[in-house]
Amino acid sequence: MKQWCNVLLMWLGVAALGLMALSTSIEAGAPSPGPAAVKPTGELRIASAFLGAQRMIPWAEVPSGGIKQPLLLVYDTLVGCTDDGNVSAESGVAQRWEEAADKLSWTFWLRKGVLFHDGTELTAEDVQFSIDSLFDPKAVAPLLGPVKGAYKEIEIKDPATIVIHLKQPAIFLPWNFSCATGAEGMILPKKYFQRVGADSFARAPIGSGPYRVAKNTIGSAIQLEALDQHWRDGVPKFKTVTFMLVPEESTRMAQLRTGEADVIALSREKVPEVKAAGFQVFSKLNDQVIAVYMQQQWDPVPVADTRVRQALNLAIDKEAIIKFVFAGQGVPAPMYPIGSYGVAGGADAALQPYPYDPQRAKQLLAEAGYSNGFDTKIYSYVTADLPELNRLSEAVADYLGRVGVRAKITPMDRAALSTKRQAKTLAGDLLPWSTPNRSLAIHIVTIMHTLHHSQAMFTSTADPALDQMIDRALAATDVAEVERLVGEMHRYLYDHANNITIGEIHTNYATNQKIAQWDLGRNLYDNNPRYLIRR
Amino acid sequence: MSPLKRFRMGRRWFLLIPLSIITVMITTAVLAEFLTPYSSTEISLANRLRPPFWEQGGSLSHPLGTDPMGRDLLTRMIYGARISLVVAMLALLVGGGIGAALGLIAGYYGGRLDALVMRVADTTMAFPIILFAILFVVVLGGSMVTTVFAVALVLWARYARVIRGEVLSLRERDFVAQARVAGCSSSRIMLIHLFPNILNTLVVLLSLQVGWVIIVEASLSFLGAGIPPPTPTWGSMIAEGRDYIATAWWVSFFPGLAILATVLSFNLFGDWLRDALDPKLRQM
Repeated sequence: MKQWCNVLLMWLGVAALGLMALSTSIEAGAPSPGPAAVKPTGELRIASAFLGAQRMIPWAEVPSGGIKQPLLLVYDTLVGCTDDGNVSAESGVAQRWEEAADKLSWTFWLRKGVLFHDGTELTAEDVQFSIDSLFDPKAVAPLLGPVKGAYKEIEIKDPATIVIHLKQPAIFLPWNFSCATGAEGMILPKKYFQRVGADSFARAPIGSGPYRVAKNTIGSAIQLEALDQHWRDGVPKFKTVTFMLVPEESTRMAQLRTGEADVIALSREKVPEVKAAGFQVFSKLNDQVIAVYMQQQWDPVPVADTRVRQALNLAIDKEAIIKFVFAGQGVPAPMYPIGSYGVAGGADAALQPYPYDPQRAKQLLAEAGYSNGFDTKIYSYVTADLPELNRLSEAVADYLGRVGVRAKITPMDRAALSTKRQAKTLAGDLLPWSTPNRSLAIHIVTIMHTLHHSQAMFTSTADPALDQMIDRALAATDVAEVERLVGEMHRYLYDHANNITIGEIHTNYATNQKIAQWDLGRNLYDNNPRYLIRR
Repeated sequence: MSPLKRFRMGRRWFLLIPLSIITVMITTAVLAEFLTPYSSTEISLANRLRPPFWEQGGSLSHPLGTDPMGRDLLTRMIYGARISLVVAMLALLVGGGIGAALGLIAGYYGGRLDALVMRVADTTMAFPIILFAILFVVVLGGSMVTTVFAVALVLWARYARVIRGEVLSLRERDFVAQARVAGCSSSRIMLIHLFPNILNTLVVLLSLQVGWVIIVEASLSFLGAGIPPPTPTWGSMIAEGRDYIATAWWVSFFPGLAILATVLSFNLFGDWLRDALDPKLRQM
């Protein structure tokens, strides 16, 4: 018995040794696992003051309504853009483009291998379909500029080459279809769109961007889900990005504190409070230009007189308004709608803001025959991104009152005011408004057309000299000529004081520690959300 | 001293507090220009959001601090008292007058006229008051006149109902029958015989409604549908301070306190007046 036990123990020992040897060899022979595969992780929650109507079709609504942010993550544009507002051959669907010698066409060579979220390849047909959609009567494409009148048709040379034919030159065409401008350049999948129709597409859109739409709850939030890999952005940083609609600022701040939001839009006054609470604030400096319009200057109203308009500009202490109404988050500006970014596009850098000189203002009013002043109205409202506008109206009314101009403060919401502007029922009235600071000459000319061409819907002027400058700039075939005309328009507006210009103010976002750095860029109507998702 | 006498004396002391507050409010409203060196509307941006004098950074030159436009808060509260009182008095006069007249006529004549007036009154009372007032102001524009009429338009129905009830019981009394027999016209009966007998009820109702009207006016101003800026109203002052609750609490707090004290005082005074004039009205 004892002998059998000894034998058994011996064989068990041999077996144990053998197993040990075997496992060692297995470990030695097995390939090493290597570094773990990188994948998007976590969630980024962005609380926005507005998201428009949340229709995730690029031409369905104006980009100024806040919808451009999520659109930039879902779609690619024909022409890419840099953070500082220039076009780029690196980040768009087109890797190269060329204007014809006669300036009546542009050829675009498309990148191969760009896939939509359903796996189909983006080709010239999709580009043709997307651009043609912009000219549908139902499409909202406010930033097409001169392309709108110049567009003739698109020719498909091959699956990776298109030619845009024009009725007249459009020298800034690549910019109009880039992410530096609006959403006009975003590419939709033709076959999928035509198969499901516009309404179904809006509910379940497909693009070629680094994120797909996971859920879109109108009036609440847009939730996006990352692809594993994107041709431009590589592996996106966050698994999901959620844009929450939170119009009330105190709610957004509470969400940041509780962690319900990682990024929030922040008004200028709240910056010190949020910084003191330990959060980071990133600013798009001088993002918006603020002014008070003097409506319908062609009517027999006091503001039809240049001296009166100059007086109103001199009557207002812009430094005090920027310092106290906008919490010092900005600088006075010479003449709306052209801000400091516009110097890059030809604006006159030598112009200085109108000084605060109420004595001179009274003199000018007397010279114009208003030594006893006059009565007018100034409208008052707030928007989610400009909660200071009602205080601006009060401040402007007070300053004007000191030189004898009795401006009655009239509360009215912005939508109603837009309707009245279109209907031209605001003769001589004053209206605070804002517009993005623009660096590109064609952007400046486009906004000049919108606000100051006598044929435009929202114009406040009817000046043939101004009309001529704008028309010449839109028809120009040389970039240098357009920039020269921008400078001329800038000086003309300044000399004729066609707007009561207040200044340029910053746009701010507060974040928690999830965001270490953020360059908000200089593109129109967006805060560079692609920066947040890049590794 | 008997317990009942002690109770009555205690009630008089108790009445002194609300009466004092009402007196202070009326006095400051009437003498506003003499009580403060500041304008209620002129801005002073460099002085914005100064705290009350007992807080760090405050001073006695602005005892209760300043608002977001640099205006003295105490000054605006004083002028705001004037606005609240004027709107309340006018709205009560107009609404109370219309309601009393309609109630008197409906109660006296009865029949279809009574039914029509009461149905219109019921409909008015069923409508959400603030929404009705906002619609009225939005269509006609914000001003003191439209605010007074907006409040009066929802107020008259209450008076009409109560006065109509009083008249229904009074018209069966002997003195009314005697007046008819003597050949008095209906209008003479209503004005000379019935109206003096409903006056107590009307006065009590008016006093009890002052607080309510002040609240409604403040609510309309808070919502931006009342008297437009820069005219100071307590409601709009609270709204101006809404964004500064965490950093400049005084902007909303003191106007809110003023509303609280004033409304409470008028309600207590109205209760006392009701008991003094006609305890039978306790159900109001």
